Amino acid sequence: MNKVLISLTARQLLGRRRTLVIGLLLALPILIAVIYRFSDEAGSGEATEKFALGLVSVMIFTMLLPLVALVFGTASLGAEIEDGTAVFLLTKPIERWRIIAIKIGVASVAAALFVVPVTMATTWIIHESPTADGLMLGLGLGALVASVLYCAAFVALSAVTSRALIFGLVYVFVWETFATRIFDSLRWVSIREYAYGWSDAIISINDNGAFYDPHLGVTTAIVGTMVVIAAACVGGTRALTRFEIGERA
Amino acid sequence: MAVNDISFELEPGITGLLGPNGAGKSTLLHMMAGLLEPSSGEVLVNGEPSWKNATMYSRIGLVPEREVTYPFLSAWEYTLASARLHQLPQPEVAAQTAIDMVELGDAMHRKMSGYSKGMRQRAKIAAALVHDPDILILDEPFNGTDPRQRLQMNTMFKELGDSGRTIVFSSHILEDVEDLAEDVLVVIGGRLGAAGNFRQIRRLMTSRPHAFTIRSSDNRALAAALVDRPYVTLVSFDSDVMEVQTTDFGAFTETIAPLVQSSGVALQELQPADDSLENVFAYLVAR
Repeated sequence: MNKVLISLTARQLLGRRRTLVIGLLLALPILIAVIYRFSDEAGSGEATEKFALGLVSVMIFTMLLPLVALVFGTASLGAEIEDGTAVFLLTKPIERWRIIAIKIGVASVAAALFVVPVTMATTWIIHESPTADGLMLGLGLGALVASVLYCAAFVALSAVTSRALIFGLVYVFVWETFATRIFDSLRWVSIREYAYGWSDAIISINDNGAFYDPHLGVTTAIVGTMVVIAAACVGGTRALTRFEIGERA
Repeated sequence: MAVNDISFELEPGITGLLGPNGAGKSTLLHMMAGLLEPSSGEVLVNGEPSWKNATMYSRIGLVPEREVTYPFLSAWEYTLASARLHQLPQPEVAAQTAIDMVELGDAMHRKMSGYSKGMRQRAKIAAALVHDPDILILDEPFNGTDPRQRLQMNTMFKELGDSGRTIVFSSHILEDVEDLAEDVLVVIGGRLGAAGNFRQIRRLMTSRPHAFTIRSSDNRALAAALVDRPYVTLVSFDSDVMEVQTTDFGAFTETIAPLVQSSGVALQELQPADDSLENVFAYLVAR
């Protein structure tokens, strides 16, 4: 049963056009990293470290990673609800929590498979110093956590509303990008901050970049991660249990 | 479409849910299938509430009107996936049996994106039948099917109904219901218009007052001949068109041709004025 659910979700998610567009988008940071590496600025000093952190945090963590997770997270369940194929799954004797868990799992793996290697490769290409391995692993871990958390949130959101894409964009680009910078306490409710918290456990540098600026400790990040996953599973399952055909707003 | 004040019980065999588009047929079927929550009252399937009851799907099969096929799958993969999601002990055997029942064997390995609507419909039916359910809920199952496929599906549904399964299907086409169902529920405007044996309901439909518009070479001469007939209740004129109301559809249609001939009039047009399904249903509801 699980294999069928995983296979159906993966085949639906990894359509040729969607994969190609995401691949092209994620090639951008690698391209910039390559250009930087061959420029006069390249080296192993503090400036290079800052550039690597800045590029990864601005381009990947702030823009591309949430976008990729939004695409996979909402397509994993929301697209099936929109096109009607979800009825095929929902009229089978399958526990709703299993559907939500598998949808979150497949979307997370798909997003992570794209984003984590790109994050690590971008860091590795730019930076060449004794701290590079820690930087690469730390940012890679952050990207992995962010992929899972964003996908969990967006899968659950698409079980609740047909406007998951809009709400997801508002969350990422209004709440996380602007609101958390204006009101510091809002960082407690930010997936990006949780991901930075995980990264910070491995990254052994003192001087943070202008954009990579972790505020939460590892413990808070772990608790936040568990809360997001639990809330997504419970909320998504509850919404799917009460799913009504043709009545979505 | 909201439905109100509807109460009925389905027995094994085939029941047709008849009504015009937008009457509430799909709403009723979706409630039976546990995909809509009734705001009041309850829907029981095999004695259990259908709402929030995923385990009941091991005993019911649903063919929704809306497209639910994955275009990247073949009918074989789709039916096999259904069998595996039902955790059947021999999913391949069950899938092959269901595919054979809907006669989709020749095309079963082709992607469903290249299927006609009728073929996708048959794939949906195969996936709904794969676990051999006691109850089959079919929303407009004949959509997109050609006459040969329709005949084959009719035979299949009749065999399933005769073997003790409960089958309920919706249609807005009288002939579809006539061919298949012994018992009928007529739904209009979200309410139950009539329920019972199809032949009784058909008789009610036929014996209702009917209106015809007639255009002829001499409407007045024809009207004079018509008003003598006991089954003609009203004759009215509107420029060159005449409207005739009758209480006996059969007598009127049998005698109009000889009457026209004996009156020496040339008949140019004869059309039922109120024969839309909505009018028929409205009459049943008003009774």
